[in-house]
Amino acid sequence: MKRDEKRFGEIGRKFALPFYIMKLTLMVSPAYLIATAGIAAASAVSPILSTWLTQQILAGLLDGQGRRTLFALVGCLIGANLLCTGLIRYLTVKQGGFSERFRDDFKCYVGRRIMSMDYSLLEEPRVMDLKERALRPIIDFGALDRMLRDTIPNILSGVFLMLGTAAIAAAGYPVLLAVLLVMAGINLHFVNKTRKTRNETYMVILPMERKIGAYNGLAADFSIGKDVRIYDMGGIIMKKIHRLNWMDMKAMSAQFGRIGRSAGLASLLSQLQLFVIYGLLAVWAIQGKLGIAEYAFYTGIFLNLGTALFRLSDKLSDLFYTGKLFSAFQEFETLSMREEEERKPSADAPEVEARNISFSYPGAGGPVLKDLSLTIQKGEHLAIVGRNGAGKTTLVKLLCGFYRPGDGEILFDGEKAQSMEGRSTAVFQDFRLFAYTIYDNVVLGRQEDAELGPFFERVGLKDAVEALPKGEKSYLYRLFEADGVELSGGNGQRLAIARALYQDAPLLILDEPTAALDPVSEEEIFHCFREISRGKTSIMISHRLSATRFCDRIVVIQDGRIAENGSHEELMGLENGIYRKMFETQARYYQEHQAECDF
Amino acid sequence: MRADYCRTFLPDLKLSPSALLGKEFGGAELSGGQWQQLSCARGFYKDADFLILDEATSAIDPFREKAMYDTFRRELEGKTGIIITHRLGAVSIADKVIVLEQGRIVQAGTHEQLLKEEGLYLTLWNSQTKPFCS
Repeated sequence: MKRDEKRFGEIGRKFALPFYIMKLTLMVSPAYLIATAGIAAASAVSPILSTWLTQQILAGLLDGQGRRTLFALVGCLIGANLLCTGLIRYLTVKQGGFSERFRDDFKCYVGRRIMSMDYSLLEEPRVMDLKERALRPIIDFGALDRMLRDTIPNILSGVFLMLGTAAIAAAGYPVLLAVLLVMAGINLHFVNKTRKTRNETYMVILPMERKIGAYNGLAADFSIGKDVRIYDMGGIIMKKIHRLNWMDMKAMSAQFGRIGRSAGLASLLSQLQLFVIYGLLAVWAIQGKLGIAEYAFYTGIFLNLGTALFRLSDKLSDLFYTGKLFSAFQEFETLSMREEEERKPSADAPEVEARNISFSYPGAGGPVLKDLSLTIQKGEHLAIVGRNGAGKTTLVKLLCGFYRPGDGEILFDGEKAQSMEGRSTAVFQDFRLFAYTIYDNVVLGRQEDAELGPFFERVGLKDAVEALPKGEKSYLYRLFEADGVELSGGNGQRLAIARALYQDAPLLILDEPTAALDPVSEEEIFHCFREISRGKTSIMISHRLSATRFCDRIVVIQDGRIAENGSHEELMGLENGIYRKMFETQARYYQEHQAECDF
Repeated sequence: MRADYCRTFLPDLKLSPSALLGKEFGGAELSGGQWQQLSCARGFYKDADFLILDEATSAIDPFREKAMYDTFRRELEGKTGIIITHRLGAVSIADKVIVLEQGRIVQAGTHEQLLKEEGLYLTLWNSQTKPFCS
């Protein structure tokens, strides 16, 4: 019973596919759908009209109809053909334009969805593969285009044609009709086999092709140019690409043998069909069962019917199997989106509490955070220190809401936060600046006339920006503008901090904010940090213990837990304290040239 | 040899040398500092006579940093090296220091010599030292 239900559901879904595709197209580009429908209608009507008019002409000739009538009929035939062909051509041209628009609009649609997706999904290979499986058919193979312009119209016109001719055929020569139906059924079988093999191969190949794409991207990547040359990386990258290509080809060619047989037999079958139609009708004509006009008429009918049946079986198979490809896209659409929160968070510096947090990244390694508890007071400036891999950045990512803790909870002002929208802003180590203007890199399109002077001043960018000929309207990088500017590492970092400040969220997080800064700039940033984070609760992750000492409180993370917690003086007072040892290790370099130095 | 060598630069990493890295294809993800240590390992592995380290410890914690400096000093024995850095602690392993400003060399000498000159170097040094010794 269950298996029948499942099959029924599957078939139901397959039949629902055309409607899903049309709904998708309607959502993205209605004009595309209309043009396509017009073409389908004209294509269906045209052959039937031709056949019928031809028969009328022949009948007229044989009946000895007057010249005028015959010319009128011929005129109608030519006129009808002209009209239909003209309409089809016109709509096809239009359709081409709509199709391009659709492809662009579709990519935008997907882009928006990806940017709204739950962050934790972005790092799962399963999701990355799903994205490939979902988008490849539509963007690269043009599966949706094919469905709209080829498959669905052909099915519709095929059905229409079949209905028009089947009744006549059945009335005239039901035996021949039956033969044709059987042949169409066999054709369907062969075509199904071909498609099934293709689909299976495709499933195997796709993850491989994602890898090939990634490595090809590496080979073509300008930004790794220095390392590629110094370490002679070309060899290992190409080796990888060649090996993946070879595996790809192997999988592809494995299918050709199987496809070849089915495709060949199907092709043979369609030739056989012609033979049967012409042959049988000719035999019956010779036997005197039908006249010349009738012969012409029925040949026309059966040829059209035969073509319609073969085309129908072909396209129906296409529909079923392409449907499976679209199911990946439907799955992609159901991936969880970021949760929207109804209540606007307060703008006051929050008290942030992490309560018994445990967390592991999906898939890789063991727990990164183990039963960690931390409370940050309202308006407190906290420093987080720890060795590499201790879990500092992970903790901060949890506080930003990118992941959900496996165990425990995160509370803002005593309430469990549903989403972190607008609550926190952060500058991570891998921040990106875009090839937009400096202004846009900070404001990110949220406002037209923002006054950025104060922000630039706070982070020490004022002079650098004013020195540029176009000031804050200068474009970064030469990607799109010939006169784009390149910011130094330090200034880039300052710009990223300015962006975070502009967002004005009550919790500010800086992850290694001075990694690329020279000593003087570094000192300036630390100096401003209290100023920058005034009125906010703030967290700074840093290895530069010269900075952390001026924070209200320092927290040492080790082995996924809080190992030490207190002010600089308190932690320095701990015998064999981790913080104390770290501080002294770093201070030692500077020690020798200061005669008296109290920590 | 491979496993030992990796351990010099990444002693805390509990992965085998043949482990896949990077989330892209389901491998283990390293922290920023660990990636940096890995690239140092790659650089020294080439065993060239002339080595340039450009901000090689910017994401590395103080303990690791000290160990890295010790490793640098040891591995650079008999070689020529340039260390570009904002962490002036690195001068402890340098024979000579060059200070660049606006595309020009404005100061050159040993650490002690440069401290005596009242130049950019002293300014940089003081701004980094001050918080440690106030």
